[in-house]
Formats: sequence, structure tokens, C-alpha cells
Amino acid sequence: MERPSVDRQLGAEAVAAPAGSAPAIEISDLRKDYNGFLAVDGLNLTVPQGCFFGFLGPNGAGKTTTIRMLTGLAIPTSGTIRILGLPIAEQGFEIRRRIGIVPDDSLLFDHLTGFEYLQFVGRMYELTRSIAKERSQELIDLFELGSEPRKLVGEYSKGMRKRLAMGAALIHRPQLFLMDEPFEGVDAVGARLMKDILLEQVRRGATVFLTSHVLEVVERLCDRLAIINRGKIVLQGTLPELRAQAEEGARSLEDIFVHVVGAERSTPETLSWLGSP
Amino acid sequence: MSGQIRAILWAQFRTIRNYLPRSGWGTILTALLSTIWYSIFTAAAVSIALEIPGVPVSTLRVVLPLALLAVLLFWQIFPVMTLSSGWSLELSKLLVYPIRENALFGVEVLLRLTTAPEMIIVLLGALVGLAMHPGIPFSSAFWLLLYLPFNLLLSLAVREWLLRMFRRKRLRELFVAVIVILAVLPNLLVNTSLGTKLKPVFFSIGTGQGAPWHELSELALGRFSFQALAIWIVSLVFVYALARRQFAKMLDTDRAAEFESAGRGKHGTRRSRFEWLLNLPSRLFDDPLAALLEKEIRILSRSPRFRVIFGMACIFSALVFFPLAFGRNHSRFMAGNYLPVINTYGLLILGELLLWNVFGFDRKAAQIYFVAPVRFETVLRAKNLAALAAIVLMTLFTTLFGYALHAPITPTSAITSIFLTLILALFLLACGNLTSVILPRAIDPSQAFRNQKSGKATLWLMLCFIAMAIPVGLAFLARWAFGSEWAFLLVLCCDLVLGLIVYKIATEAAVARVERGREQFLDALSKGKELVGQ
Repeated sequence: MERPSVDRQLGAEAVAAPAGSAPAIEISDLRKDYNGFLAVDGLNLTVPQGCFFGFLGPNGAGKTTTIRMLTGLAIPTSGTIRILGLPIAEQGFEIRRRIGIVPDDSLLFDHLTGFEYLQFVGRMYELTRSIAKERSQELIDLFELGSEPRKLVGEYSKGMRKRLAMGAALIHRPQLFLMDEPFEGVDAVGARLMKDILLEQVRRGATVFLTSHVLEVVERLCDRLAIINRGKIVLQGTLPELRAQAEEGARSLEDIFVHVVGAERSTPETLSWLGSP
Repeated sequence: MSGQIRAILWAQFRTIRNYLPRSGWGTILTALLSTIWYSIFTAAAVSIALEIPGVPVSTLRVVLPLALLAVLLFWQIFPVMTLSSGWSLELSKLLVYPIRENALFGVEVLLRLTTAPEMIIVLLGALVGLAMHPGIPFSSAFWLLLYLPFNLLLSLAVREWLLRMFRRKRLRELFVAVIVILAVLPNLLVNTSLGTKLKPVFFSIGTGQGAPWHELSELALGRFSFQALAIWIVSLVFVYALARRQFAKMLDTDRAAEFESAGRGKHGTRRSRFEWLLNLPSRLFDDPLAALLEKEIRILSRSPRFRVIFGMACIFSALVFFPLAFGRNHSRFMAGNYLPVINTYGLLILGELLLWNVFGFDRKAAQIYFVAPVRFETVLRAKNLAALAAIVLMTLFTTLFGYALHAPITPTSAITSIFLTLILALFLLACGNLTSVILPRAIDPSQAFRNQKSGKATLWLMLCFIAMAIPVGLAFLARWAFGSEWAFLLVLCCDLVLGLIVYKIATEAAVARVERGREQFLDALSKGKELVGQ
């Protein structure tokens, strides 16, 4: 089956970043306190428009909390967030129109079909019914979710759910994509397709902000990176800049990451019983 | 007890304990209500224990088997009637661990104690009474303890069988009808001639030789015989085999479900013949309200849980009140207000899904209301409109069903009843919008048969329903006081105005509340299944 081109699907009305426009994301002194536990502690970050930005960190570092605050799902304890130049506290509603989200957890309704869900999301984002329907069908074809059109989302595999969530994030052609582990559970073919679409969106001026534990993917896709640990940014910049900041000999992103978050340890020494015959 | 069973129970205990501090006063009030409820049965048990020693053995020989039959019926049928199966293991979460099937079966049998603890209390009361009886050997009373494993095993078999039946698409709705008949049966027996006809049958079943309850009664009254013992051994072996068989089948079903959830689901939804009805909101309203409303209707109509509850609301209420309104010992009030009463009861049944916890089916997906450019007020309005549509449909069904039962329904009484139901629904929606954001809780739309109902939800349901029914109750009071239909209608019109004001205020408060506490709201809807119960 011939796939509809990504170009045709999403490129017709490209999202261009106006010259000299505000950063896609501007975070100042952001804090999030959960009953005394500082999940995010004085975060400062700027993501320029038209950038493929990787946001890395070990488990529990504050990545998901940050994304939840960027999407408005969590309210910051203090600090400011500006998205596409708009302050999230005052203009959250307007910001929602311009962003597309693939969360770590599900936004999907299990008792709708994939096609119905995409139509629903399209209409939530103020597309006309005919356009929402047309785009939903094209996205279903693009992400190869159409082989069982009557299947409910609740019966989808994890990879299919992620692809559907990706389709839902794309349907209104957002200017900024906020994605938490978007490739988790997606097979190689699906992941390649998703990466191609995202790269194309960045080429056209949209911004992608993603978290991932697959460092090879981040290394290959992202032009800028930030590493967060214990709620604070510990390193940020382009990959060459990160290499320069990291210790000598740290060539790969994995080396840099392990060095920065201090996660090197020897398993056999820690759990001696695991090594015994 | 094996280490694995202890681990399961420990994990469950920790889960409950970790959750408790967040429950606050709701938990205390729920505990208070439970204490009152179980105190009633404890008082009954104490009375039985005190009364039995004074009853002649000859009378006990007639009464005890009937009482044991009644205990069995309550234990096995009451949970089915209330669609509540007590606590149970979440087998899908435990299948991945190397736990022996015997261990799981053992825990599941013990958890059946939660199905009808009232009957255990009553049985213990009877046991103490028989032990104190001067005409009965002390040790004979302990034969009654055999009734516990018998009922536990039977209860497990019934539950597993029903759950599997409820998973079958077409049988599910049929089972609602069966449950309705079961639930209505006692009422029909008491209030119609059917009771008189079936009374001798019940007596012969209860006192019939060879029946387990009769033989157990004989043993407990000190009339030991090898025949009675043999019957009991056979009965226990039979219910054990039945329970094991049903449990094994349930395990197989869960394993198959696990496989299907890995992306191999074989069934889809058919294109509905009522597609035009599902698209109706798009013709009547603009987006995003229309899109939200359409989504609500699609999800509700595909949810087995909703279909079962809706069926119950339409049929159960009409049947259960029919003997009270038009039976032998009918009440004049019930006869005059048959439709309003059954519709109010229908609202009570629908309340759990359509009024008190409207985000329950959305679960984690409720996040979309905060990331998409849609006002939360619009979301609430769409949910309320879907609820109203279901309520109107219910009132039409109950009216038609009433006609079918030859209830004296006039067009005026039908219209008045629908009007009254909608006004009551307006108050309940207002209150429900608040409870939905203050006490949200995830509900599995695919689970037609619920486990333990949330204590807090029950408490809210009771208190809110009573409070919100007061304005409508005033209309009845006006009719009684002034003896005039016009007074009744006038108060109803005032109620409508008041209801609209209350609805507006409550909805605004709910929106403000969720804006402030969206994290707790989403967190509560994201909670998954525990190891035991839900």
C-alpha cells in the first residue's frame, strides 16, 4: 500500500518561524514542589524556534514534571514559562491551540476507534468537521492504522497507541511539539516514520521538544540538548558544546550523560549474588 | 499460609494504608455508616442467640432449614442483585508471577467472605444460640460451620460464572433481565398471589429431605445420621469441584484477555445502525460541544457497564415498584406517583455513572481536557447533556414499560413525571458536577460487574441524593397540603428556576475547583487496579 506523503499530509500550510520571533520555550527559575519534594528546582531553559530539542535526564530527574508544566497539566510552584512568546499563566488557552502533545501516558479514549479519536481531537482543535475527517483518514493511512478500521483504541498495541497519539498531536499542525518518550514501544518502522515526520516539521519551522531514554536517537535527531538531574539543568547546548563541557574522552552522548548524572557503578560489586554461579 | 499469599495480602494492605491518609473525613463517615449497618446484623445475631435457647426443638426443626435456605439465598443472590461482587483478586496482575493456581484459588475463596459478611454474623449468632440450647448437645451446633465453606465455594462459582457471562457481548444484556427478575422476585412473592402459590414450594424446598440446608439443620440440632453426613460430604465436594472448574475457566479467560490486550484483539465495533443518532449532536450544536457530546454518547453506548446499568434503570425500577403500587397491599401514594417514583429510583441507579463521577470512564484520558483548547465548563456541559439524553430515554422506556404492565398511566401523568424527573436531574447534575471534581475515581467501562463500591462514593450518593431531592419533595408536600395539582406544578416551576440557579453556581464552583486542583483530579483518575478488589 502506498503511503500518503508526509509532505502532502502536513506540509501544505507550513508553520514558519518568523525571523526574530520569541523563543519557542522560555523557562525562568521554575520550581515544582510536591509536599516538600522539589521535583523541579530553579530550572532555566531557552529553546529557540525551529529547533529539535532533546531533554534528557535519569528517571525521577524532573523531565515529565517539566513537560507537564509546559503543557499546563501541572501548575508551577514558582517561576515563569513563556511558550511561543506567550506567558502560560495568563494565556494558557491560546497556547493550547498552538502546541501538539504526545504524553508519556495515554490521552486516548479506549472506546473510540482510531479514526473517531482523531476526528474528535481535530474538532477539539477547532478544525472544521470536513477537514478533521479528511485529515483523520490521511493520518490513519499514514500511520498504517487502517487495516482494522473497526478496532477500538483499547484493543491497540502500545506501538499503535503511540502512533495514534502522534497522529493526534499532528492533526492541527502545531507550532510546537511537546513529546514525552514518543518512540517508546514503537517498532523500528513506525519510529522511523515518526522521526521523518518530526524532522520535516522542524525543517518547516516548527519546534520539537522531546524526552527520550534512547540516547542514540536523541544524538541523531536533536540539534540542541539539555540534561536535567535532581530538578536542575546540569548541562545544555549543542552536542559539540556538551562534549567540550564534559570531561575529556566523553565522545558519545551516553558518555556525557553518564558522566554528568554520575550514574556509573559496577553491578557485580553491588549485587554479588547476581554474579555467583 | 504460603509466602506468596502473605505477600499479596501485605501489598494490598500497604496499598490501602498508603491511600488512607488522603481520604480524610469521608473515610471516617464511611466507617461510621458501615458500623451502623453491621451493628444492625450484629444486633440481629445477638437476638437470635438469645431467643433460640427458648424455642422448642420441634419448632427449630421446621424453622432452621428455612432460615438456612434464606441465608443461602441472601448470600448468593443479594450480591448479584446489587451488582457487587465484593473483593477479589486482580488475576490479570498476578498471572505473570510463579504463583500456584491452588494458592490463588485459596485466596479467592477467602475473599468471598466480603460478599455477604452479614450472613456470617447471623450464622454465628445462630451457632451460639444452638450451643446454649438445653435440648441440643453443645458440640452439634458447630456443624453449622460447614455452611461457611459451602457458601464461600458456591459464591465463588456463581461469581466466576457470572463474570464470564458478562464478558459475552450478547449474553450480558440478557443477564440483566435475569438479575432483574431475581431482584424483583421477593417483592412479587410478598405482594402478589404468586407468593401464596409459591409458599408451599418454598417450604417443601426448605424442609425437603436430602437438601443440604435440611440435613445441616438436622446435624446442628443433634440428630446425627450417616445419611446427613454423606449428603454434606457430597455437597461440599460438589461445590468445591464447581468452584474449581469456574475458577479455572476464569483464569483461562484472563490469560486470553492478556494475549488480546497485546494488540491481537479480534473484535471491533460494528458500524451502528444508530449512527445517525450518534451524529445527531453535530447537527444540533457547534464544536467543541458537539464533538464532546458525540464522544460521550459513543463511549457510553459502547460501555458494557453503562448498558447494564441503563437496562437496570429502565426495567428494574418499573418492576420492583409495580407490586407496591398495584399489588395486593398497595400504597395509595405509590399508586398515585408510580412514574415519578420509578424514575427517581432510575436516577439513583444511573447516578454512579452519569451524575456523581462523570469523568470516571475517561480515566487518564481526562488530561486531554487540559491540553486541548476547550473550556472545562464546555466539557461539563457536554457530559451533563449526555446524561440528560440518557435520563429522558430512561423516562420514555419506563413509561412504555409501565403501559406494558397495564399501570394506569395518563398522558398528563407521564408528562408531569418527565418534567419532575428532569428537575430532579438538574439538581443532581449540579451536585454531581461538584462531586465529580472533588471525588473523581477511575471506572473501567468494560467491567459490567463491579467489585467493591467506593465507600466515599456511596456516602456522597446517599447524602447528595437526599439533599437534592428536598426541593422536589416540597412539591409533593404542597400537593398534599393544598390538595391541588396547581400547587404541585407551581412549586415544580419554582424548583426549575431554583435548579437552574443552583446548577449555574455549582458548575462554576466545579470549574474553579478543577482549575486549582487539576493535578489531584488527574492523579485520582489515573489510579489503576490494585492486587485485590478495585
